[in-house]
Amino acid sequence: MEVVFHIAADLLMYGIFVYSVVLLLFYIFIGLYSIGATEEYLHKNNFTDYRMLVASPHAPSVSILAPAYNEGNTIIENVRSLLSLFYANLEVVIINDGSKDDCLQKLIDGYELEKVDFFVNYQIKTKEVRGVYKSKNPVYRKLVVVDKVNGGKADALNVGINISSNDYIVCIDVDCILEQDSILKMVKPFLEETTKRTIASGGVVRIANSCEIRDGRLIKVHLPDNYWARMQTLEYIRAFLLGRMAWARMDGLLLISGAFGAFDKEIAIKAGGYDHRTVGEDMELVVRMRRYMAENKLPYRVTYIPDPLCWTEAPVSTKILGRQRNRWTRGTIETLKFHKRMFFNPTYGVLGLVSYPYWFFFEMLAPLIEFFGFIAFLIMAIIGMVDWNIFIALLVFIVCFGYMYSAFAAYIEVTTYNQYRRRTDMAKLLLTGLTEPFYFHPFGVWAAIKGYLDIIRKKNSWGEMTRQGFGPTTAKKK
Amino acid sequence: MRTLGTRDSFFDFITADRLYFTAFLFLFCCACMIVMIYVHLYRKKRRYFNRQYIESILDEWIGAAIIEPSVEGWHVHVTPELLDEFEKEHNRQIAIDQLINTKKNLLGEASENIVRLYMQLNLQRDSYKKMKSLIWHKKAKGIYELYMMGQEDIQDEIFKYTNSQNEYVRMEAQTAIIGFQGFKGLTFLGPLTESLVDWQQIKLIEQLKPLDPDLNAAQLSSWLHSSNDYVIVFALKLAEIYQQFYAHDIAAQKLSSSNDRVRRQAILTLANIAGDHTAALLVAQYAKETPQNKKVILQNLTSIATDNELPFLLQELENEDDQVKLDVSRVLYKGYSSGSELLAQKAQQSPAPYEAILKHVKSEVV
Repeated sequence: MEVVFHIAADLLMYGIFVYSVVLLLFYIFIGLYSIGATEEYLHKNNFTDYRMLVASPHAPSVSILAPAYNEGNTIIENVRSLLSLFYANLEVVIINDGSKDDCLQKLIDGYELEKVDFFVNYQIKTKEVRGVYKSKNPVYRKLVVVDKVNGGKADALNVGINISSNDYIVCIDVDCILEQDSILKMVKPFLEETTKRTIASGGVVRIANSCEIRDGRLIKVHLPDNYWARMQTLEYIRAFLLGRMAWARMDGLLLISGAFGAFDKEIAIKAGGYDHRTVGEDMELVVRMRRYMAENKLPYRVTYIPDPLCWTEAPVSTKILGRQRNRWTRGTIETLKFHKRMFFNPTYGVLGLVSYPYWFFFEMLAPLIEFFGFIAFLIMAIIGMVDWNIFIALLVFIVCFGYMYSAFAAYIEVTTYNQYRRRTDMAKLLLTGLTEPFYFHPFGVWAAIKGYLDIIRKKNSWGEMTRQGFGPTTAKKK
Repeated sequence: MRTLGTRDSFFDFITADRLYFTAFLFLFCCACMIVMIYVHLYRKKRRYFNRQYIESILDEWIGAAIIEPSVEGWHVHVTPELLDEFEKEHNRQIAIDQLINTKKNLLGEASENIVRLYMQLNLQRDSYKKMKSLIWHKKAKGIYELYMMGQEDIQDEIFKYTNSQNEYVRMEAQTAIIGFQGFKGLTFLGPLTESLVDWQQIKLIEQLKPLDPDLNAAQLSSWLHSSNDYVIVFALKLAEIYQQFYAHDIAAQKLSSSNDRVRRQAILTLANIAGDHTAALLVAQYAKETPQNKKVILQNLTSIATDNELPFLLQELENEDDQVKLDVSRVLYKGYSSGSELLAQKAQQSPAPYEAILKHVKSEVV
């Protein structure tokens, strides 16, 4: 019995040791590998003149798809922001996903809309479209508003795909603030394709809390005043500027944020559109599009742009943040479950051999391992099995590694896009990072565990995401 | 060397001291990065003020360049102290950037004086040095600067890079040559073996737009026969935009290309320089095409379809794909006087989906 116990303990110890070493090596690799990708992008775009594409009739046609659910308070301003983007060949499709508030009526009144006869080709099966509206005022000719029966974000986006008339779709969250030249920059990778077809392109999402926003435009960037939002700022810099750039460089990107991503519509339709069975529809679509291309042996690429093009309001309360992280966990589990065939499958190349296993072990399983590790630690501490000397040393080791990684991300931010220019902002950001291992990170693990529990309970709601909006209250008080 | 055979040996290997030492290294790296962050921010701030200073000097000179008449030998008075400032490489780069930005927004004499100022400060030397660099992004930037500042005397050297293996060097060189020579600069298409991506094609087309069209028929034909599909696509675009009707037959030959992009552009070009039999040609091609190209054919039939194409269109109206039905209905409604009636009859026979399609097409015309 004792032998079995020792073997089990050894397996657990060495297992966790190997797991941790591989994880840390991955982090180091991702951090270093992303530098080249960002550097190359900056060099390539150093003197690119995007203006020539603004009014060119030869620029590809793009449809922005923005699902809206109970966005009545901010919808007029959000749509105005989208209509003012620099791009001539543009269509803005707002999908009212059966809102219970006055969202649709506000759009009708605000943009002089009238119901038009529109034949909806249900290339992707969706909930029923109740009506399509276009403006009587030619100033708003780019705007199309779709009213549909509530079916969730994925269903709303699929309706947008069915309705849109252009070759490329840019899927966004309607409450995001896009930079004026964001579409120009997102379209470029599609125009640069040679032997490989560009099927999707992702953009960096930044935190807009406390920023000055006027008429739907970002005027001045500030570091969020709220602790949770500030912590997410650091987290987003790490994830977008390091993580996704590195994965894009090694052609293994599995996730393009639902807040801002561009897709080749033809491939999105062929792959079956967004899957409404998951709350991680953004990741799931990218994985499925990639699978479609790989299985049909079609050369393709998925690109990523490090420019800060999209600004979003981050959750500022533990309640909303918890729901978001819970949903992200469920989305990851569901997506990986749907595509389990890819696990260590060489047919899918980097995707099957590196990306999928990474997501499985270090994104999906990490909260579980951490949580049960903590429980095991508590039990062992109670029964006196913990070598406190080693424990404290390990804790110091891992915390210091985390600080180093965050400082590295902050350094890359400063040397590239440098959005937070005040020295005090950077100090605040770094100091906030000091609390991460003891406050923000455990909270994230707990939210993820709740996600696991919800999966077991088969709960698949999106969870309400109450936002404060970019009104004057969110702008920094001087 | 010890092995990790037992728990004891494991903890012999992962000792607290070693962990503390590594943690210290991490902290040291962390501290270094924080120092680097602040050094970078400080340098950035200094560079910002320096830039302000250099730009203020330049603003004065640029003001003079814009106001004063453009004459050979025009120059600004530069004191030796100020000249010293422009000995520093980063200041010279600020000057180049500022002059390029100004020149972008100017035309005529004022812009000529900006170039003279660039030459007076001997900035072309820097740009040339960059062009000769082995680092691709420096080379591309050098070419860009020389082109923006109208350094035509080195266009032969720049021309060599129009087929460079590096796409960015290549693109800048091609842009420069078109900037210097206009339509005549398109000669680089002849020997081009590398790619000419859509982004660059749009850029070149926009660059040519304000110029008087001057396409050489023989050259265009040779590009249409190029072994490089990118060149063929671009030449087809030129034929389409500049209505080069003589290219019709060669464009028609391109419908048999194995590259669907070439075929797609050939369809677009043919529709824009259509003759009496073009519609029939496209209809004959339809069955062999990819779904995307089929759609392009239908979209372009509206203005060129004749009564001969009506049986084909009526047949496609029965296609099981609703998108095809919609596209065909558009052609019928917009391209034929009897189209509305034909669609109304169809809608009466099978209301779903033709009734909704007819209403949709009608609303588009309104």
